[in-house]
Amino acid sequence: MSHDSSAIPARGKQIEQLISIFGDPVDVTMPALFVYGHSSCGKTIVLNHVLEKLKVPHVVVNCTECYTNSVLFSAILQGLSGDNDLGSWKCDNLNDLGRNLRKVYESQSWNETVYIVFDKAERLRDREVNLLPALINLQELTSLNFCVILVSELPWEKFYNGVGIRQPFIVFFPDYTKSELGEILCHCRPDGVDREFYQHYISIVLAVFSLACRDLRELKHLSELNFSTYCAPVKAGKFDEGDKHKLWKHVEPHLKEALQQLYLRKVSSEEWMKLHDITESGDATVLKPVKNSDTIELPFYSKFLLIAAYIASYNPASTDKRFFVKNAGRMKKTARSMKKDERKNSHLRGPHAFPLDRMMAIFYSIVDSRVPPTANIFSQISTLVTLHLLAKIGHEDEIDCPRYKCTVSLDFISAVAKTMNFDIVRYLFDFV
Amino acid sequence: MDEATFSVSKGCFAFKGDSKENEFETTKYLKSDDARCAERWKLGTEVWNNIEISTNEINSSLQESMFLDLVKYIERSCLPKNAMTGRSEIPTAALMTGVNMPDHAALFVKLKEAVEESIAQSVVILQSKDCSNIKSMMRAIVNQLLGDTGMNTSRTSDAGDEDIASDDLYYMRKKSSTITMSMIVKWYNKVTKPHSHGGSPGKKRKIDDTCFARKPLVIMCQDLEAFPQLVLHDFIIMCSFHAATLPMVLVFGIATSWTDVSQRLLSHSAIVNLSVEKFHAPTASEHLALIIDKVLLTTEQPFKLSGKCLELIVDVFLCHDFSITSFLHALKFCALEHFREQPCSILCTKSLKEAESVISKFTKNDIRLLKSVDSFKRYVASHDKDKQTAISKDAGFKSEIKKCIHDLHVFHSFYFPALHCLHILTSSLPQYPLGKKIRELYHMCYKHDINNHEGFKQAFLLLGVSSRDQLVKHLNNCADTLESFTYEFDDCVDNDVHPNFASAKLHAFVENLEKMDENDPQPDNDEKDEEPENETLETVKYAYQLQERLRNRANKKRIRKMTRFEKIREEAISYLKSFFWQHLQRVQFMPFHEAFYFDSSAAVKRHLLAAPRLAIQTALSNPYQYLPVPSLEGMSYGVIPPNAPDICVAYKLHNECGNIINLYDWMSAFHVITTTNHGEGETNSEENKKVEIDEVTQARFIQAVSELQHLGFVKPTKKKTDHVQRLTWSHS
Amino acid sequence: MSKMDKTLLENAKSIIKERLCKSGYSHNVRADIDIAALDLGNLLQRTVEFGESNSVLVVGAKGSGKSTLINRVLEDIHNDSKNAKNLLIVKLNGYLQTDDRIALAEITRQLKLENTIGDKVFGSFAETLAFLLEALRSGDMSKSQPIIIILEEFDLFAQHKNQTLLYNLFDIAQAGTTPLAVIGITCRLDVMELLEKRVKSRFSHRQIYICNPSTLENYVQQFTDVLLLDKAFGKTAKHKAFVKKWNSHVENLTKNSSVLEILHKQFNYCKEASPLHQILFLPVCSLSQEHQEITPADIAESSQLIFNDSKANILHGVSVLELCLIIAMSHLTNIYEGEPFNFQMVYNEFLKFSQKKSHILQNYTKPVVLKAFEHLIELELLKTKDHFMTHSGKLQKEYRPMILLVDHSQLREAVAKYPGCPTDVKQWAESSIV
Repeated sequence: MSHDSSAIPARGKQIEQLISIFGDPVDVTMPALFVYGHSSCGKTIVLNHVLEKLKVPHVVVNCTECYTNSVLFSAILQGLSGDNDLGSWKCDNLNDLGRNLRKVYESQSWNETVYIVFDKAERLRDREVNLLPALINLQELTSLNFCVILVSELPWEKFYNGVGIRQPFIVFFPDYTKSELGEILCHCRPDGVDREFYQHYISIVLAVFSLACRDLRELKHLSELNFSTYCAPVKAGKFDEGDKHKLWKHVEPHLKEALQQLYLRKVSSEEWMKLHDITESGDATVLKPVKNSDTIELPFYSKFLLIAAYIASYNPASTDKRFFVKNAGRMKKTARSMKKDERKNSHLRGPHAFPLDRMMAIFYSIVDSRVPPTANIFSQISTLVTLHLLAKIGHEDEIDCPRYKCTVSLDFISAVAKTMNFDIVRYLFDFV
Repeated sequence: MDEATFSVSKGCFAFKGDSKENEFETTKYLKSDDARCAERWKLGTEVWNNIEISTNEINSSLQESMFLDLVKYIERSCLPKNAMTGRSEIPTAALMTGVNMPDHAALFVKLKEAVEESIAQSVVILQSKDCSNIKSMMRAIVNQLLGDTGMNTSRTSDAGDEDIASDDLYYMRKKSSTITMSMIVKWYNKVTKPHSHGGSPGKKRKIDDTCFARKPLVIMCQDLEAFPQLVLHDFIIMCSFHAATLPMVLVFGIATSWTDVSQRLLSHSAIVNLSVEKFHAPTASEHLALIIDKVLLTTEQPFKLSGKCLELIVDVFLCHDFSITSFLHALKFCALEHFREQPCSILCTKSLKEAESVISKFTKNDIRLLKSVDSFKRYVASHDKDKQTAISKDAGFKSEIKKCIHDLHVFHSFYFPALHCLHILTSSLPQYPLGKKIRELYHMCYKHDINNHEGFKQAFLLLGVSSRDQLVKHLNNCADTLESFTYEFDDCVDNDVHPNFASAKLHAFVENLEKMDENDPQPDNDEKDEEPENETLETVKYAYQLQERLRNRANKKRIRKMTRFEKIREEAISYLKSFFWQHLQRVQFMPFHEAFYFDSSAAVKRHLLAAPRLAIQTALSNPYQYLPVPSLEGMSYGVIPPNAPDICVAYKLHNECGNIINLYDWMSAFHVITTTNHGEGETNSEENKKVEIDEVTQARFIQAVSELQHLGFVKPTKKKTDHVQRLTWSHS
Repeated sequence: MSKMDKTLLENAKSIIKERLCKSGYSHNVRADIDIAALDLGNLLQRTVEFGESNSVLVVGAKGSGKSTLINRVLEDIHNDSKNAKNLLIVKLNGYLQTDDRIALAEITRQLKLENTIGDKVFGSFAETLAFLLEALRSGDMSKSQPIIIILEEFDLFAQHKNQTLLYNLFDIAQAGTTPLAVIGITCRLDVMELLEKRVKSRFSHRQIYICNPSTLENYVQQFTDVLLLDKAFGKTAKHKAFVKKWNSHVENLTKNSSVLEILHKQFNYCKEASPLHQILFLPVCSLSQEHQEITPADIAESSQLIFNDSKANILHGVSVLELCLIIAMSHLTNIYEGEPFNFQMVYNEFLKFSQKKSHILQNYTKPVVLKAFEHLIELELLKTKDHFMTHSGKLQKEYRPMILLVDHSQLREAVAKYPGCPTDVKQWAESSIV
């Protein structure tokens, strides 16, 4: 049982283990395996690799995709029986599953172990209580040589759900070490790139990102994103592949900036190119600021409605008087008497729900021109709700006094307020 | 959202159906008293159709570039080069549509067409209302896919794949059956196989025949914000599971912003699977500007909005919803209202000929109607006796009206070029004396006599001190705009203010300015001290600074002899002044301008700015508006007649009460009022109080109160039983 | 020679693997099971021979050998009873037959009566069952065939809608018209409480308890039993030799102190057989030509694998940023005496730390930190206080009340084990206050 670790770098040990567990195709193996480890550390790919290589009958089903039991079962049966038309295996309870499995097993006249892999197995917990234990006991239930393999990101302890459930044999895929990450990233480098050159690049990438992110997919994305930036000066002929220090100096600011957008996929490769015009000039010292596409263009009154909503949901209702009644003297006094409490700070605790009337009252008092209470105003509120800038609290049927929350962040609202040159901070209780 | 779907039928393509049903309805709704309303209606609809056509053109021209980019992106993302990276990520186009949601549906339908005809195998548009859970989402996808392939197979007439996929199709068509992603993938492979291997359409040749050479499957989420978070998460996970085998592209319609979406909607594990590219749809406001510029303020369309109305509906647009669709609705309303209400709108034709032909077959009745148009009355009054008598004759009237209409056409054909010209000159001046946007300028010109307007004067003061290159730039632009128009009535305007002549003249000025410096070096030295001043002038903050600077500049001028440059500038400016003076007259002074201009902003307000609460309150406080019963007239000022509707009586009474209302007092008051008949007021109200209130009155009262509660004026309160709380502000 | 040897080893390996993996087929049984088997055996005998009806519950912890017992008994009956040929056995399992309708269909199927029942419609469940049995009786003239119905996961059947199946089965068994033995198998000791009164009253309160080995000796005995090869392995001299060699090495293995210690630990942890098998599984699997015997080291390693804390594994995989967030959270839980916190607070804590202390962690924007936070939620290292599925869209992620599921000791351990963890982060984890 030798295997090529070249296909999947840094997972030799796990492949070994799996192969030795599966052992000889014909003889019996553990009725259930539980494979867990962090996302994108090669669980699925290794499993597929091994199963393909051993050429044992197997099927892989994705539990997210098979969102009902019947779909799940028929997916299994189709995968094993290998016949292609969709409606063929109709099967919606475990009993039928067992029978059909036996049917398939005999029709294929297997004698070796049959593997059923459940990817994203954590989703099985949302189904009815007995599904998971039943699947784990499949070998015993069908008294056929099945091996059920559950693949998940969560540890097994998250799968206990009250009913007695037998613990499967657990296989852990440890997360990659830094060096392993480097190895893998190099392994899938764009072809036609000198390995050692790329390796150095990767080492820089890891140096910048590894603190914040050890997810292979994200690192891969980032490294692909920035590589062109990295080798732009080389292409431009400014300095050759040799002098690493310059290259490092050149690429680092870009990476630092990319660090601000980790996991956000804010800019794609194209825009990245556009932003730092690296295509023509190789110097990274001129970093254009990211074009801020986050400011939403809102209609005039919507802006004020939003501001009113924000004030309403972050100020206690008791303080409305001092903000909106024109009486400076009293206001100052109360401001001093008010005792701030860290725990009460609503920018820490989150927005409160407020009734519609309160919002409208604030709205009318902050809009200086008098607004006719037309239907359009109210339709705007619902628009804001559909845009999820406001959230309607409580059930839909409470029409007499609907209550809302404002779900935008402080910097968003202050950006909006700035465009109306309205100084919102003066109206926020947390900041007086 | 259904409003949006409505706008699909209105906004973009289905207007044939529209106009038909309009004609169908008209018979019922038109006023019977004047004969020509039917024709007017026909005229109106066709005018509107013209407007709509041109707006649609603008629409598509605006979106074209974005569509192109998107299509390119989709094409690129399906190229084999992505195969190298394992293609674990799903190519995703984040389409930043503004917050104007009513327009989105139309946008996406167009996008679908664009993408479909160019590259994609099939395009699916998902709306959040179909996607409350995965099952229904899949169902929606499949339904659209099967709908498409129906067309596909008929288009590329090979029934082969049909046979292969037939039983699957049967399965997938069944409403009951649950669909999974892998089924879709399998079906998709079956459908696309013959396409990718067989004779492929030209555009796919260049792509070699890997699994990525197949046309992609494009799935659009129209309103991403409204999608349930979990559904979206699962969907993305599923797609990523198949991304390696299925060439698939997602298009997210995002109304707010990517940051918002990526934070709120896309979970950590979902977002890792996307490789996002952002596209920006043209913003609604520039779209609007374009429509106003290209459609409303041109000589093309005979129908025109008065400055006030235009301002009104633009305000609706800017203040409430950035929705082009609803703006067009408003515009349509104005147009049709115009042709419905305004008798002389019959003359609002595109070409003069038609108008004349119409005039020639006027009947007495028409003439009687048209004579009552105020602008015409004013016009007549301005003339002397015998002229008036001449006009009062039908023949005379007809000839007169012909003349008026002709004048109007002439006027328009020069008015708008001049307007654009002036806008070009003034739109870049500091502090915008004549407004930033052309619509503001238009509004001014409509409202005041622009030539003696304060802003106009100031603008020309500023122009009078502009530096040379600025001047050259302006003049060139003006000339270009003037040439961009076509003029028919050449003979009706004296030559030296005719736009063509004007543009020529401007060019001449420009030439002089250009060759000025080489033939005499003298002005250059004071060019130098000219320049910095102008720089400062651009950056000036306050009006008074400006004034004084201009003043001492003028003094300086008087001392120093005018340079050549200044001379030319003077000439140019003065010429332009005269030019504008000629063409930018107030249209209100022209007889029969009502034929073209729609000016009843009241109607617009009434129909487009619905104010439900106001309506209810007027209905309650002054029912006479709705029920013309003479005895109700008094209600507007205080007195409450006993035969008023109960709810009105109750409302009136509760208006007098404080914040908390005692039901019993209320009821007795109610009883008093309803039982008093005229004549004796207070006298027997006394024993009315004493006597038992009969059940009928009680019932009526209770009903009235509950109606008020339903309307949200009162609500029961916890504090006091047998009291209700008042929800409107009390005057006392 | 070696070739031959290899095959022998392979055989031994597969045999032992089978013992380890297949449940319900332990090759040599314990004494207590023998007694139980005797008991149950003649009970069933009476059903088969004299057509008595009976109902019995077999109760015992997981892996205590219930299935073994049943299989064994059935085997015996088949071997030594004259009219075992017309004995009918129906096996039902609570996992498979998830409701009574399915169960009934399954019974019909196992009695091979599908075509007899055809498409008749029956008023009630009881009628159907009665019809089935009737059909059996009519099957042969002399007397009705005895039926043994085995209900595995008996407790699940008790959860079916008003326990119709159980009621009818017990009812028939009590009526004694047809020779019917109902055997329920369950691992729940409180199974009687699950039964409704009417059902309970019809059940002959005969229960057989099977327990796990109660002493360490039995446990170790079990350990060796699994590994030892017996005569059945083979007759030839080679086989004998191999068996001898193997068994001796197994003996040594059990003598080994470290192995014994591991076993003891495992025994205290849980008496059941399956964990024991799991410990043995990897070493057996790793047997090969190069590695012919199971060494104590193998045992130690595999037990190590079994025992290590999965949460610690997960914590080992998170990024430093996420680790910092966890630290911040555990501090918050200390500060607020375990009442829930939200992201905003965590972020503030994190900022305080990164600005005061650490200089490598300063430049992270809030969205990035939020994504890291989400990742921790997906790993279920912390959970929302209220079930946020209800208003997922409504409440912002930043303000959802959260509870940390990692306690301080675990965290400290994780930080200690974390590869290349910055020192200031270490200090922060230790010090309760920033």
